Amino acid sequence: MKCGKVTDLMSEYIDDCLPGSVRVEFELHIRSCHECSEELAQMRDMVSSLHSLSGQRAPVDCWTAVQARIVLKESVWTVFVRYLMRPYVAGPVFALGILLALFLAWPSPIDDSEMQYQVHAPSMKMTATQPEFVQFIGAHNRVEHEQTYIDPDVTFIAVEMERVSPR
Amino acid sequence: MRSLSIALKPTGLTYNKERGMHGITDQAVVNRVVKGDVDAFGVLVDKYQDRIYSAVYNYVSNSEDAVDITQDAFVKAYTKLTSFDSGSTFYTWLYRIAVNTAIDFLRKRKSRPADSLDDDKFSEVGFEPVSGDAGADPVKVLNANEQQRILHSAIASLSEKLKTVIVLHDVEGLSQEEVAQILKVPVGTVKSRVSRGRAELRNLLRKQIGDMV
Repeated sequence: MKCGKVTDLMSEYIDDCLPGSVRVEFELHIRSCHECSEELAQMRDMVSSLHSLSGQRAPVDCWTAVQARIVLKESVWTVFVRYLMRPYVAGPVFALGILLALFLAWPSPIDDSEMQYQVHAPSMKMTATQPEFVQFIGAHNRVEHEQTYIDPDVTFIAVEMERVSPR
Repeated sequence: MRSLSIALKPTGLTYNKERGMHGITDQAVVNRVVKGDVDAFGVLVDKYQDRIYSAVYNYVSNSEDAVDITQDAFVKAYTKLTSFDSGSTFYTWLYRIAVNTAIDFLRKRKSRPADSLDDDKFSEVGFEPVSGDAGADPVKVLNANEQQRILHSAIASLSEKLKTVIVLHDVEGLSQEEVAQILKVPVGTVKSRVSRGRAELRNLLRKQIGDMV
């Protein structure tokens, strides 16, 4: 085993993670190589020094502060719920909720021409004021009347052809 | 020392800080907390606050910040307790929350250059007595404090990933399997990070000691 390989395996050797045969080779090299032996001793010292940093004790009692924050968090929520449950708050909130639900559920009057526009020209971003749109709808209606079965693709191609060369 | 005594009525178990735990598993306490017994969470805080504080302190190298982060981690753990998977161990889950909180803290501090000056960073390290013994040899205490300062400085220079495994494995003494569980990475990844971290740390320490000489 060469010095480079031994250096790579040093960490695993310290953690006692090397398989038997590799470990034997490693130890044989360490016995014969002064530099690697020194390096291993330094690495061991460093790991041992690092471990000496552990065991710090919290300078304050964490539970008092943690408990205060938990209670505060919970109390804010509890106060909010209790406030909502008061009759003079709950009544208007409930009424507003009902009104909102009715407003959302109420069928909205939609213009038929808009529907047609949405069905037949979903990808074309045009408004009713644009002349292109008016031309498109006009041509489209004429083509549609001539067909018994409305194939959207055929309709679109026919419309495009009419746009290019109007009748 | 503050005396904490919490009665766990349904099981008839009690916890006393002076006398320690009496057959209460973390899972049993977690179940009590989830059912609404906030005070039972104090048992877990008292049990793990020193371990979490120690890991966080060695991660951020500042006592005040470490206290804040430790408290934040416990509050986060409390709020997320319902999502705790009973199949895993409580303390590895708690360590994960603490490590993530510490990482977030350091990232935020990095984005505020005024707060990340080296003078502030290590202002406290080196002035805390290693031994509380009044008769301790001052030269030894000074040397130990100097050694701590150098080690913290070197750890702080490591990348986030290497720093995390070095603090958890080499400083706090958690096994590679536990670190893998905390970081949710394979054990092989932890092994290679430990190896790389040590090599980098050795180079950093050599450089620092060389600069001092």
